[in-house]
Amino acid sequence: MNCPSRGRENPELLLDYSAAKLPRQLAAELEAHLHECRACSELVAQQQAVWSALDLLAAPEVSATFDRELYNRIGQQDSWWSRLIRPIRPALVLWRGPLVAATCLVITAGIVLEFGVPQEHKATSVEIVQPEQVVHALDDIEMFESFDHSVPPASSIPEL
Amino acid sequence: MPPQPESLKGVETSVGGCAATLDYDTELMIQVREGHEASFGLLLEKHRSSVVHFLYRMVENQAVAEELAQEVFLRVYRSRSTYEPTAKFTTWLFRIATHLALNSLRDGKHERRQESLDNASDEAPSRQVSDSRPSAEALMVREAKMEEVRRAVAALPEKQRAAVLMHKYQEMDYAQIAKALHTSESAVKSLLFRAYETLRARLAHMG
Repeated sequence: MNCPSRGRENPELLLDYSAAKLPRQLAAELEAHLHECRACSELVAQQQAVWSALDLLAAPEVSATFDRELYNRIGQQDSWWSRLIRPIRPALVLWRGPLVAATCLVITAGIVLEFGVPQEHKATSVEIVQPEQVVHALDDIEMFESFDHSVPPASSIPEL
Repeated sequence: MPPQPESLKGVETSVGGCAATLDYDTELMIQVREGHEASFGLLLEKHRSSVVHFLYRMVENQAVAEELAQEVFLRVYRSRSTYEPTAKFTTWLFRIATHLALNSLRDGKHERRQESLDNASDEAPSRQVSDSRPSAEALMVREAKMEEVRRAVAALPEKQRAAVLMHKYQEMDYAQIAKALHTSESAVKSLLFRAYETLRARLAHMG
């Protein structure tokens, strides 16, 4: 093993060893090195002293009102909307996909009903013709044909 | 107001459509995202102390530490709908806590505790460390040592202090600390090495 303190290749090895965080095999290798290296063994002794000293840095207990104050802040910051949907929120999450699809369908249907079918769809639609209209059209054609027969051709009209 | 904690059993978790092995905290947070507000209570119960203690050691003011800790949990709650388990929950939690602590220190919104040995016992809240009725002299020696440690830690640059606190008290690994501090793993190793070097110079005699 290369000397961790001299080469500074893996200085965290000494920190991890001092904090008893090193895997067993690596710790055994380092211990073998510590027997030979005075610099490393001194550093480890000092680091272990620091590690123990840090245990003295106690922190006070959390105040009893912490949760209540936090939930009050959550309550204040919650919007009326999130408060309204809170009871059905799990169902909304569960049925998120189908709900989105249904909403899109309703919106599309609303748009179609409001603005009608687009123009190109109208162009392709077939106009419905009543039977009476067909009869009238045939009568008109017959009348024009009889008119043609009764009028002489243009070549037979004498020039003035 | 979210309901108080209750046990949650048999809740299956899947991420991105496929089942994944997640740590318990992440599973709880996913449940919070899905509307199980009781899971938020469980997360609060589990991490309340560690977050407050971390912030207390960072800002050295109990009231500010609790206010910041509330802000941490508030942010967790507010971002529940967009939560994605890209990292360990505790890494995310301490990333928020570190960010708030560093901002608070930079803004100088609070006054650090300037606790002398004379008034320490009067004003300091009850300590976590229990002892079996030490003598007055032993108590004084211990208070003096504690004050020395406190001053040594407080003298560290903010990022070094945050790294040491996460390494020592939260038992986070280098990768987690790196994510919490928004930096690289090698930068964290360097931060820690320099921080402990300073602490060894000041505290090694206490061993």
